[in-house]
Amino acid sequence: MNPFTYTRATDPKQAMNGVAGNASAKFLGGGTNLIDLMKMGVEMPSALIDINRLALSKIEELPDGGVRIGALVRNSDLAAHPLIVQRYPVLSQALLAGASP
Amino acid sequence: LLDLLREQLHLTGSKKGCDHGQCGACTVLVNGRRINSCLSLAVVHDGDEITTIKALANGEQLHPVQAAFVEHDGFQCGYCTPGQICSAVACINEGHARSDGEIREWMSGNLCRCGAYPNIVDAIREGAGKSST
Repeated sequence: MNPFTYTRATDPKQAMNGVAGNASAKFLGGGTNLIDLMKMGVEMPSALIDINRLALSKIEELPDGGVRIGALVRNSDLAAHPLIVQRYPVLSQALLAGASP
Repeated sequence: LLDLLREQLHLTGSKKGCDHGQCGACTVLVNGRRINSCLSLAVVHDGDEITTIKALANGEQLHPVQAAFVEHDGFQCGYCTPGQICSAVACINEGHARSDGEIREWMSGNLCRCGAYPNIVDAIREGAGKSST
């Protein structure tokens, strides 16, 4: 893998600053795609901004009947969430079929 | 994370199979949750509790799932076994080992090229019955 810098963002503003003006900076979430592509030299970011500790793991019911899904919600958590299982069963099943546990 | 465990900490129980998150040989538990350690950077896990196959036994006493794998011959070459067992422990804790079909589905991220699947399923079914952890 190519050398890269690593920064753990503690708030959204810091995360945004980390990628501002750097076209080859990438956000790091679960990383299962990005790290794999980096190993194969497909992605060669110069900087990784780890956003895993940001508060983006909520699944919230909205007043208009929709659901807001945080960017850091794990697939397995979303698939098992009562709101998703009851109201969006196809989404739940698709998530479980989309990857191995 | 896998390289840190194996090359720096010399915890070579966790295996490197495909190194691309497809085979599950590198499965470890992070705060009790199973992940492919080959696709995760160690630095991300500062402060997390990492459990590898090396931590499951209590001294000389095997973890119930380890004992069940021995009892049921849940392996041939053994290379996938540390990942299978870590994954099985989490699978049982998640409550996803209530039937053979459920075990097969929720263990589908752990491949066994020897094809010991029937015995692996037997072992996990027994482990689920005995395991309280």
